[in-house]
Amino acid sequence: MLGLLLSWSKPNLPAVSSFATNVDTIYAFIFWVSVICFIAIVGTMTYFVFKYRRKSENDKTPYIEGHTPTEVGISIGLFVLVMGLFYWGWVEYMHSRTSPMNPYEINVVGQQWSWNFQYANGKRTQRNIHIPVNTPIRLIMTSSDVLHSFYVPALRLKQDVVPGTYQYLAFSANTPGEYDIFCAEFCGLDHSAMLGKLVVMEAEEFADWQDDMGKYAKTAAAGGTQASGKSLIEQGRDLYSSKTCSACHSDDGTPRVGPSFKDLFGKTEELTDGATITVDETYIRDSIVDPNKQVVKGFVAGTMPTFKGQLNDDELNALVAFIKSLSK
Amino acid sequence: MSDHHDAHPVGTNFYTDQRGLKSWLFTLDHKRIGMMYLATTMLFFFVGGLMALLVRLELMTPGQTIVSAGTYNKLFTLHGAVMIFLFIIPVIPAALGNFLLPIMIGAKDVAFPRLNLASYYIFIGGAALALLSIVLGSADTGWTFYTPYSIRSATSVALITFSVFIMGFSSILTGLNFIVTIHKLRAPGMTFYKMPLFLWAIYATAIIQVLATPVIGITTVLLVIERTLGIGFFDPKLGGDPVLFQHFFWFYSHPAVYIMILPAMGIISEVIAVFSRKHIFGYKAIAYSSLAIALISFLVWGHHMFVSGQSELSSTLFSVLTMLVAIPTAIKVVNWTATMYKGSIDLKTPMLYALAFLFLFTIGGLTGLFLATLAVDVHLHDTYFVVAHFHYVMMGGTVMGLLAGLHYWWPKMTGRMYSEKWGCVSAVLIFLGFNVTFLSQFVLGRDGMPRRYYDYLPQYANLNMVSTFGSWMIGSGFLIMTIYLLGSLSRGAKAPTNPWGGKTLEWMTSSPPPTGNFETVPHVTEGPYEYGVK
Ligand code: HEC
Ligand SMILES: [Cu+2]
Ligand SMILES: [Cu+2]
Repeated sequence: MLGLLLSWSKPNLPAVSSFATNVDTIYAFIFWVSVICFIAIVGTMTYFVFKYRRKSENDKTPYIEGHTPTEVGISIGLFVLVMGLFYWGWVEYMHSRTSPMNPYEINVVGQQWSWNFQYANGKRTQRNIHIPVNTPIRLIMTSSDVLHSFYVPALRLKQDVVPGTYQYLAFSANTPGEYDIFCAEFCGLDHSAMLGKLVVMEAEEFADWQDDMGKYAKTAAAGGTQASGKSLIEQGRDLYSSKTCSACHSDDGTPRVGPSFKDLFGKTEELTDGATITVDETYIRDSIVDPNKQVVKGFVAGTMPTFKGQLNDDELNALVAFIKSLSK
Repeated sequence: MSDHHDAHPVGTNFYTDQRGLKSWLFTLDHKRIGMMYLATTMLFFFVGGLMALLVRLELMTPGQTIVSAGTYNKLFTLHGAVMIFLFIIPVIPAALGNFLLPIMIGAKDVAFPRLNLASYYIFIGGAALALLSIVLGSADTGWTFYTPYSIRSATSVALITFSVFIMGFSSILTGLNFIVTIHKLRAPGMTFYKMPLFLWAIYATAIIQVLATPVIGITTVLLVIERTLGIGFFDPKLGGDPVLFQHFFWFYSHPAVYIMILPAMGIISEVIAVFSRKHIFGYKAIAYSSLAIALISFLVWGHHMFVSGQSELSSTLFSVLTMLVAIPTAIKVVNWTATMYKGSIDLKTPMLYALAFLFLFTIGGLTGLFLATLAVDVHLHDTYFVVAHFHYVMMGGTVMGLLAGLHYWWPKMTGRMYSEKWGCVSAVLIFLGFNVTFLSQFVLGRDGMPRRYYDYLPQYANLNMVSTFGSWMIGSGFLIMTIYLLGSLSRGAKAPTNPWGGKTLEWMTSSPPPTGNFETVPHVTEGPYEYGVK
């Protein structure tokens, strides 16, 4: 019995990040609290059923209307317990939502029914994502069609990807190996086939893999993965000139028709409607596909043409990466 | 209603007073309308149950077992939609509530009998549309209809969501009718605090029905407009916001969870008191906790959206508020258990279901703590853990409560006793089968198996097999129940007025009751749970 309970008290999964380990600890804590509460209620109930089983139609029962101190006591006790629980879960959650300094960033695009990954050096993969071990990773994720949810049980992490926005996951995996990736948000016919692997590699091996060097030179040639030869930032710079952004936006601070991209990322921007926002990936994306949604103070709505439909998710990701690279 | 009902000879009842199909189709009698709701919703329960068995059969082994992925996606969508909108939301309030509420307050009928009949036909209209949509291509979006997939899916999503819109009106009108009835038609002496707790629960439910249902109505209309006219509310391609849909949807659907569970909780309060021969422990605590749950239920919808991309601040607030639900819920469970203390406990079928409720609902509630805790929910959201959790609450809670009530009031409603022996056998089968089916799903979800999966990885195969076996046990339990309940209608012993020793008003009138419910207007002097030696 105790053995069974023990085996239920924790996920039977590898835990490859500190967040995963902490989630397991909270899980186990709630589990044991639940076991105690369950025994208190169902144990008492069972005891009563045997003890007070009806013996005859004339059984006498006492008249008890209730006991207010018990109700109040239980309410207060429970309040303290659940607020404690909330706090614990919240602290860990906020931790997982805070991006580390200088993370290694990878773009993720979900589509019916596969995961696509874009690395800083321009390399792309489908289904499997490769990362270096013990390195802060930040995934910048979107979807090109419907909702999906990027779920890695070994990390205890999931995040829905929402078309038209960027969502993020930050983590650092501490054990090399291959771990399942699932799509956790229903997305149509092959939802359950939208699988992949998180491949955690030693740092040097990852470097080889990323640059198609060493033992990975051959697989690249065989077409297993695809390298564009240009880094994401370079691809972005190319688009910056080919899509005429450079006509209105400079990359060095010189004012043109539109605001310069220099030091744009991360700065606090004032808008014509008086609001202020911090420039992040989603804001830049919105500014490109829906320029009149948020108009920078001092500029006129309608000056910038919309690029909606002219840039795909990969290109948008490259432009965002390029603009980001112009800020320190 | 006029006095002529009182003139009927003793011995006739609301079945025999009038005969013929027309007398049913145009009836204004709340009991007949209640029975029609009961028959209709139980029929849908049967349909939804068959779909559940098919879903489980498909999942028995990895890969294709009996149907294709496309069919599977439709099956689980319909299972959810039918069970929620056609069965579990209406069944207790509209069927048992309709039959019992007026009797329990000593009234002749609900406040607006015509409106009551209209609600029924609106419900039937909505249900017919839902069935039509199944024929015309069905839906494969899950019962949650999340955008933008539901905008783009080629299936007949518009029709099925429109049917939800129509049925919403039925729910609103029934709720309104009940609120007015409780306020206006209580018999002399029946103060609020002398009302049976079942009625407090129905009252709290009615408030939620009236306030929350319009939101799902508007949401489904927006969805239909977006699908048919291409105006963008929720699809980013058309300039909409998909997460907004989730807010709208859960703003109704979370409170709806309490539309489903509160009436069942009311039944449990009645059954445990009667079968323990004890005054209910903490009457006011139970009554007010129903209202508290109804209130908080409007403020927690975002707990379905912790990983949807809503802001961290929203998630934080929704997590705190969700935690608060634990308190009134636990108060109820503790009070029910305490009611049995020093009682004279009779393990008749209704009580077996009430005990099953306590057992299963406690698990359902406690596993809610895992999901309310932010960091843990990030892992468990959209896995089988959630599927198991809400089945423990909805089936282990609401359906067990319903079955307790169905058996408890069966003699009153039909005038016949069912076989106690078979009642016991099927209760045990259903209880065991339920745990086999759904305990294994907690483990599956904890180990990461996502929900709505047609196919799964080999590490999940064993427990899926176990879960499918469990579903057959549940199925056989219900098969037995269908046989002995229907059999009792012709072969069951005639039910006495008060077979269980109940103290509420429905046990003061004959089984089945006469058309006007009482020969003379009852005067209420005592509370509903006056058991025991003072
Ligand atoms: C015809 C001139 C023009 C072109 C071409 C143009 N933009 Fe703009 N852009 C503007 C103006 C004017 C603004 C400021 C008003 C606003 O916010 O809409 C702006 C604003 C922006 C902003 C927000 C800047 C801030 O300070 O918040 C971003 C990001 C941006 N553009 C990106 C792009 C990209 C990427 C391209 C090329 C694909 C592009 N723009 C092409 C004129 C242009
Ligand atoms: Cu999916
Ligand atoms: Cu909810």
